Amino acid sequence: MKSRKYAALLLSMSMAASVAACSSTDEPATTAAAGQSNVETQNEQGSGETAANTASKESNSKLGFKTAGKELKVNMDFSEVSGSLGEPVSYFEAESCAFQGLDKVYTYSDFVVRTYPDGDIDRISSVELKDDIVTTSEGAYIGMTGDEVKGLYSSYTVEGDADTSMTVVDGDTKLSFIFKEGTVDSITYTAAE
Amino acid sequence: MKKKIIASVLIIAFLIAGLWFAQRLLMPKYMGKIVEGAMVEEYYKETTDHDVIFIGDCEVYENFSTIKLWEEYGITSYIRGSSQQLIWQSYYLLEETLKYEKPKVVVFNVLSLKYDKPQKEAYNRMTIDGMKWSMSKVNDIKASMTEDESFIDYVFPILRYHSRWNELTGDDLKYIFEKDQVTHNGYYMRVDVRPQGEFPEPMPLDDYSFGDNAMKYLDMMTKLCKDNDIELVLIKAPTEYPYWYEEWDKQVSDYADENGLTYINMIPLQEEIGLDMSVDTYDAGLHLNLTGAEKMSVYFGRWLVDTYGLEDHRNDPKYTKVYEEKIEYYNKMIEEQKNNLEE
Repeated sequence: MKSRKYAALLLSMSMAASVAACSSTDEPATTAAAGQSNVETQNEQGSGETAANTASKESNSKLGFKTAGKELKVNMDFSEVSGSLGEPVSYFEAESCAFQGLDKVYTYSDFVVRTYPDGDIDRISSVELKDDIVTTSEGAYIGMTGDEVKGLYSSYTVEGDADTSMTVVDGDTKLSFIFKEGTVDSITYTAAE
Repeated sequence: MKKKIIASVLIIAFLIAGLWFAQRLLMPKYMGKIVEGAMVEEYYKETTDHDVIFIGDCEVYENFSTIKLWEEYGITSYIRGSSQQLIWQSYYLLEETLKYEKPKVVVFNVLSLKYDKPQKEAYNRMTIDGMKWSMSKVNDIKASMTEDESFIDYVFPILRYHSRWNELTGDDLKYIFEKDQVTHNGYYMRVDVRPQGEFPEPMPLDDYSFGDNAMKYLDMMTKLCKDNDIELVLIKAPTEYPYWYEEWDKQVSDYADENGLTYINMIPLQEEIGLDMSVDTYDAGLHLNLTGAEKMSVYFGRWLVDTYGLEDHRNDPKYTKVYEEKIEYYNKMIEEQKNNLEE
């Protein structure tokens, strides 16, 4: 009789422990589904992401680069726009350490897109404008002066100066203008810190 | 009454043992495709001390052959490396290492200075889970956690890994208590060859300064070594991608000058080292393969001996037997990997 009591007690405690474990893992399980890192899953089984969860990773910035009728934004799923951009001039991929996916670089004639792996999705880590044929959505292009850039981005806080670089931050995106001899030499969209 | 107490204690002990077993079973073993997560804990199996400790990311654990350092110069060394090891992780791993031994030289690869904040849980886990519990591990966790992580999940990994129950394989049972050795004193061997190709142009940055947090840990590492009379050598491995900017190089060089350290950027030394990136890399130039790592070890080992007068331990009975076994395993792995490539 007593042994039955102990068995029941043992069973209930085990169940309680399991429930406690499960309930306390709600947060990391959600995190894992969002592709952050269900460590083992991400390593060897893919991320198992859901559309609902990945949506939360989309850019919350007004800053983006428009081309071919699409807008490229930092952190967006690159596959949503890559089909409209045509074939890149060159493509490079580097396996990240311990098989955590591929960092990819797509070089088009006027701009470069870099992506980072997020589970099964390649998200945009940066967009770099390479020549003055293309402009930012607000009209900035390579060769502009610092004052011209400031004028275009007067509704934003512009930090820095034309001696080195100017940056505009909005949401998760940082737009950088790097200057050489007083004019814009390079324009990049990257993730804001 | 006494019986009840005994029974209760037994039940509690049984439950704790059960949970511990479940935790061991559910934790990733890193014995399959990704062995990098099993590297950190291998250090605790070492039976002898080391004159040189390497710390850092894949640019140390794939680029230096510790066994070649022994074979050529009798240098005892260990690489406490892990994937995307961030500088605070390097610091705490070094701090922990110094509780076990006091090396003459510590070599740190500076690429991780480009990261100023925690990056990714998967990499954190590969570095931290394998550490034994100590204040170094506690502080490492605190410094490394991303916003979505919690400390308690590191204390009780079962809370993090419980969802693996439906992914368990035979390996989870096989390696539940004992894992295979995956490195050679921390060196991760690859014998395959994939020639280096062209790398994309580096992206210009608006600010090339290393972050305050990263520099704080470099300061701490410098102080830790000075306090323990250890020579700290900063290196940049000879691989060219990810890009190592000139501005970064100058910052490290200036820091080394200001703090009386030696900094060696090995990228411009490729030819002097004897590296041929058409044959000495296994992943198109990102990391060195066995031939590349051995060339690096011959070059760097000579520099270590000439600069710090490191003792040749090859005739020291304290080490000879141990290293005979290490060499045997090293050669066995070379043969196995070559055989696998031929199949």
